[in-house]
Amino acid sequence: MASFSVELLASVQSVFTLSITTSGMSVALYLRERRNHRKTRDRLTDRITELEVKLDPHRTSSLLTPEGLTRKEDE
Amino acid sequence: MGVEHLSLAIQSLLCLVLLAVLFLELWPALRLDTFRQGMFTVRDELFDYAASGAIPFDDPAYRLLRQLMNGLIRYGHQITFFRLWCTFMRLRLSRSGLDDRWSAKWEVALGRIRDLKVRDDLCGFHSRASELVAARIVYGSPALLLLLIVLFTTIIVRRGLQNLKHALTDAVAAGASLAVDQRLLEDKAAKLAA
Repeated sequence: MASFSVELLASVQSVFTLSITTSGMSVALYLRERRNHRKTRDRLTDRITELEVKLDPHRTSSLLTPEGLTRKEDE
Repeated sequence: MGVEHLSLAIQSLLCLVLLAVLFLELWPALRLDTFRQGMFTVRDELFDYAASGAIPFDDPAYRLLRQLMNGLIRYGHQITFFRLWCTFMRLRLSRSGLDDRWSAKWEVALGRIRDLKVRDDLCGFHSRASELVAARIVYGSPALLLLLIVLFTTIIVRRGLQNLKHALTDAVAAGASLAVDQRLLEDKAAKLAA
């Protein structure tokens, strides 16, 4: 019986470790991808605005930050 | 308490912390980004539409629609069922009535457009923006999600399994309109973006 308990616990531990590792890696990859998206937005925003203003001099903006985030004063 | 029990308790606690981070921080941030991304797409397409010469950039209808989208993008984080419901209740209690100035201006501006195709196209952009807002409101509220399931099932039963995507879109729109008055949201968004 004691041997069975140890085996069961070991099994639970390994499943737990696998789940946490997979979840942790997924979250880490998601966060990294999100950071890359923000960098891309930051890089392209000025160029897009500049080109669009040439066509529409009175172009209005959503007033998000260049990274596409909510401004502090709007929170 | 044995070592095994303590170990399991720590593991459970760790899982709960991770779940809390996922549901309270990462998931809402992803939903907001998705909403804004969708609204930016519609706004960009509207810009391209005007750039093609279909409508002047200084046309009031174009400017109003863009102003609305800017407001929705900027204050997308505040578009939740709870907040809208509170605003709606505040208006009802203060008996100040619904402020639908944006909707009135939009109707006038649309009426001035003579080309029916352009008018339809602009209404299409407006509908797409409204659908994004409806989806954000409905998918962000467990109560409305439940209502959505009921509406979706009803629509499917009535129409049969012909077009699931349309049934879902209709259910989302119906759920959102049951929950909040769209004119209230549009006027607030446009006012904030002005």
